[in-house]
Amino acid sequence: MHLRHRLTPAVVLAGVLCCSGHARAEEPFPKAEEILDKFVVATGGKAAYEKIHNEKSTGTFEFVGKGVKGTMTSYRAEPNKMYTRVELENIGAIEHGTDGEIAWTLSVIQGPHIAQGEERAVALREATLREPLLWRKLYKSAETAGVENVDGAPCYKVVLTPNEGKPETQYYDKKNNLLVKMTLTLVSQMGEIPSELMISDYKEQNGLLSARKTRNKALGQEFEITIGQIDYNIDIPKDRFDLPSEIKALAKK
Amino acid sequence: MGQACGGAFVLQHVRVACDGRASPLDVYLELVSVNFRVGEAGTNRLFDLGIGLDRVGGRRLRGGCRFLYSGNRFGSLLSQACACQRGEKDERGYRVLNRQIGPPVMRLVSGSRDFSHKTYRQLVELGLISARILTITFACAALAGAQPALTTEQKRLNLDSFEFIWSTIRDQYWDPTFGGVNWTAVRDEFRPRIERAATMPETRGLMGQMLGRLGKSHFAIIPADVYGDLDSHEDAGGTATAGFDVRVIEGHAIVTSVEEGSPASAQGVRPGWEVVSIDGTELAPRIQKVGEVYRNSTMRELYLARSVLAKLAGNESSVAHVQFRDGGATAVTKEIGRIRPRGSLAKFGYLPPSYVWITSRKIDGGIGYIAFNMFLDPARLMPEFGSAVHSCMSCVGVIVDLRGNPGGLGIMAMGMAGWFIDKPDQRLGTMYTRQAPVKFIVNPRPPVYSGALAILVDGSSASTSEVFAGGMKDLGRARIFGTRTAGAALPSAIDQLPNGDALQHALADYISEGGQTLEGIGVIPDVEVKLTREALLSGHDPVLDAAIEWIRTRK
Repeated sequence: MHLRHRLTPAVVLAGVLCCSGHARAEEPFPKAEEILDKFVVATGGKAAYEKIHNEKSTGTFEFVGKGVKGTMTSYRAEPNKMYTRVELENIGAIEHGTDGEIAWTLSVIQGPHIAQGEERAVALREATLREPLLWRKLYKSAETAGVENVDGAPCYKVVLTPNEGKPETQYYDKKNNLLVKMTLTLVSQMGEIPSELMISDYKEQNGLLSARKTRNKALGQEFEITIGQIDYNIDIPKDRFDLPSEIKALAKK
Repeated sequence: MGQACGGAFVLQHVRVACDGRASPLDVYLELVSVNFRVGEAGTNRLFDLGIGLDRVGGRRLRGGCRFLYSGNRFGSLLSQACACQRGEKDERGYRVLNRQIGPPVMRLVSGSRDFSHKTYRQLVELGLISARILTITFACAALAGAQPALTTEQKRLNLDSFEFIWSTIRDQYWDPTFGGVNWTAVRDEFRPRIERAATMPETRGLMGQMLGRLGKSHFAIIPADVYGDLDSHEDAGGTATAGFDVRVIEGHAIVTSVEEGSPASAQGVRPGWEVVSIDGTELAPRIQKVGEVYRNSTMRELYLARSVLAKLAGNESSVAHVQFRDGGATAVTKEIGRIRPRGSLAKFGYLPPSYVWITSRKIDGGIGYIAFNMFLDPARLMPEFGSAVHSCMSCVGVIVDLRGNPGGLGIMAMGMAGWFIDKPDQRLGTMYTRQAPVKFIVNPRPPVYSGALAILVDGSSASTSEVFAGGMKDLGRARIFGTRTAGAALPSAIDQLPNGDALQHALADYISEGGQTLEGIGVIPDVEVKLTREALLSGHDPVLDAAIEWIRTRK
């Protein structure tokens, strides 16, 4: 599964291309859609994805080298409902989610916020269950931009331009077709922040291969998310994706 | 030790010497360094020097320390430095008498004749020397004793450290133009000098000079032993307090508040009393020296208060012998048992644990009053702050008292502002990093309090306190009462270097919403009100009184 949505519990992601590499003419690159489709196959195949109707993942969250750690729990359900809660030690809870219409964040520190515009569009896109299968609906174009090494491994570089928002770049390992890196811009109310995500530790569960570790660099800081457990097709409480009262109050204004 | 120690930094006809002694400023992880710009006689060339003076970081160093450089020219200086223990003699045979006295003292000497502070000030005014007191740096203890020559391995690690420092600034300094400084040329200039450096002090001095080229605060080299202290995560010893707060008012340490139920309260200590001496140490010389060193700094009030509070601090079981001058000007001596600081112990990452408290109440028949000592422990503080505001929705006004609040997590300022601002997309200011500007956006937190808001500040209000007060003032949402804040707002990080030292570097610049930088300027109150001993003795708080008066009389 696509891990991106789990990487940013405090801010909503949008895509932007940060790298400037160009395809070398002498190398015949596969088309982007071929690379993206191979990722689906590499991680379990279309049929396995289509069996998934919801998921719950739990893990840990850490600001690398800062001594700030916490736990994370995330739910997603079709078509694009999502709720994530990060509990940081000595800081408190940071939640974000969407009921498919309103995308929001709620932090003990910063209070409630309802995403608008591009920020909302990105949140809804990333809440989409089975996102890898649906990239043609979510992105208006995808192009192979070349080959670059990521941690010594040659990777196809694919630039995806979403229907709304800025392009993002994804790097797929040539050898195993897995997504290993993304560069994009975090879009939040605080600004647009260039970000790099390193994606690793793929593990199989229920026939699906999913990345269990992501290290995100932004503003000179790093945070790491490690997913310990993923459960598919569970009984999620019906009100799990309801808007919190603080968000409802804000939405009424 | 026992050998003569110290040295002198000779720049043709100008010799610069610095004395740094174990400072009373230490408990707040504040280190001090001084940057000089020195004119070379005969050529009018200017040289930037960065010299760490004293230590700090929670525990006192080994005593009086002379920290001097020597050399025939700046470009080929021979650095020598050492720390002296009590009773030792410095290079000129002066015996170090007191291990605890004084803030860093700075003076210029020419030949063998000392220049006075007055002379120094004149030179500063003439533009020959510019000195900037920075918050952060160095320990004399790291310079203790005769300095051994560097081994090949140490030189290699120092070079690696130099490259780390240079590249960190290159990659992370918020201004890619480095304020007009050619950073590549700086590397080309300093790397050969680092390669030639014979001792650790010389190496650190060169690194400090390189950082000094940026001309900004919060850039410093922290010697390995100091960094070890900072990184030890030990519970700081000596954090117990005497149960009363102090500000230096017109050169006198005056009790501004007494903690209810504390031993000090039980012994009858009252606001307005003057603290004359602590454990036998007269405060007047200490206050005079700190005040002189920080004479032109916005942080003067902050350090004056800290210099006294640091002396009052100690171990929980200890007793402070404090001589006061009471309201009748009578000398009164009290033995005050030190107590655990007020509040709950809060941890955030690798920062040393801190005691955090918040209080709220209704005053003057319907005005909300909220005070807290740090922007930390958000899991507890934010809900309590919100509850205090929400319990006062019908209040005629709310007062947030940030006096003495040194700051903490910047993001908390945004969150607190949300209880007072109902318009979305407002911001307190913008933090400029290399990667991107970060807007300090306020999220309205309905129900929002829309009545009068007064914020109280003083010279000990720093960092996030300034972000909050400055932003709310700029947005026209609050009226600020008190005295100018500390002007110390830049966020910084500490990274360990390959040689074991550490680099402290500011990560960003911060501009308040009104377009003003806070660093070195602070927040200027709308209504300047100073505390006075007389007012405190009569049971008044003139700053609070002014805020109440404004709330009561505003239309």
